[in-house]
Amino acid sequence: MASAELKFLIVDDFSTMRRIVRNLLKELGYPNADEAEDGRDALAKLRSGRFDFVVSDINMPNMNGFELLREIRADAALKSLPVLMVTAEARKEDIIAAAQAGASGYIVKPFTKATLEEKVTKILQKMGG
Amino acid sequence: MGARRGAADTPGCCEQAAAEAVRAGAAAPRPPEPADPYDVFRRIGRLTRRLHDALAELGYDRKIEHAVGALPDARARLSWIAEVSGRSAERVLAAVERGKAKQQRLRAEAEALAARWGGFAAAAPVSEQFAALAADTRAHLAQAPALAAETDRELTEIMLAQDFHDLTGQVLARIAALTRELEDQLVRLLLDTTPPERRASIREAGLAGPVTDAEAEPDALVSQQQVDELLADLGF
Repeated sequence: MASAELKFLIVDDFSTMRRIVRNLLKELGYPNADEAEDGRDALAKLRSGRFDFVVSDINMPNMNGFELLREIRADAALKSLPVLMVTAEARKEDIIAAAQAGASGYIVKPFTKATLEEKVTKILQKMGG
Repeated sequence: MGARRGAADTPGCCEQAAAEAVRAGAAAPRPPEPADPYDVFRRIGRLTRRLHDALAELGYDRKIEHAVGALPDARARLSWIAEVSGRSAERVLAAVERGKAKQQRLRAEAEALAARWGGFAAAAPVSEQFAALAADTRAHLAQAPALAAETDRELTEIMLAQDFHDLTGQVLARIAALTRELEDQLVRLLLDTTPPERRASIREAGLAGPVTDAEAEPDALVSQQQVDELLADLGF
């Protein structure tokens, strides 16, 4: 699938961060993106529409990124969806927990455009291979 | 009263006085050994009551009451900081998006014009002045796309720097939660050390409105329009 056709879901409780990630993805050649403000909102959108990639924060109200990740991996229709965690939580146990819960990648805030590009490309390559 | 005066003069002496009060309680004539093992809870209760009385006598209740009253205001200020910095970050992001779109347009137009100049050959001999102007224009158009790309990278940097709102916002939220917890604990402590007839007023004090809240401050002007209207009313 061409990069322009891939649909991303950006999940973060801070609108500024959603906007930053959305702009960066657009610059990287992925203009098709929607936003959700927490895990609960994201899960509803994922279940009602087609998405190819999730970029999610961890620390959010209502349903955090770990809970969202677990819900995605437990859902037959969503379980193979790539989920990239983008978060300020840089504790070792968080990173391990994310990997164990099935995260496809992990980026620590603050991050650069190059880091986002590298992780997204790597995940998409793995999916393709 | 001497103890109260001393408390104001010397920081830390209140703790000492409170400790003395507790020690005095411990040194008081002991009741006979309890036959009932649960009597120990009654004794702890009496001791706690003495400690509460000592705190109230030393004026700690007022200090706690003051702290409880100040916490919602502190929390509202934190929330105000998060809100204002968030609005600023959104404004910067919107400006960056507009700037990037303009840079993209400049770049595309420069490239198109450079291509046209590249294939242009004057049909008739031109003046030296025109030839120099054309050469300078070509040179400018040749470097314009690179300059536009560089400016775009700078705009990306400005955009990424707005992540401070998310990072600082998370810290502010944690501090706000901490002050809420502290306030709850203090209100409970205060209620425990206050006579029942005064407890209602303490509960109200604990819910005091923030000064950064426009509704709590009718004199506060929250928009430029309101400021302009006020100035117009005053004849400016």
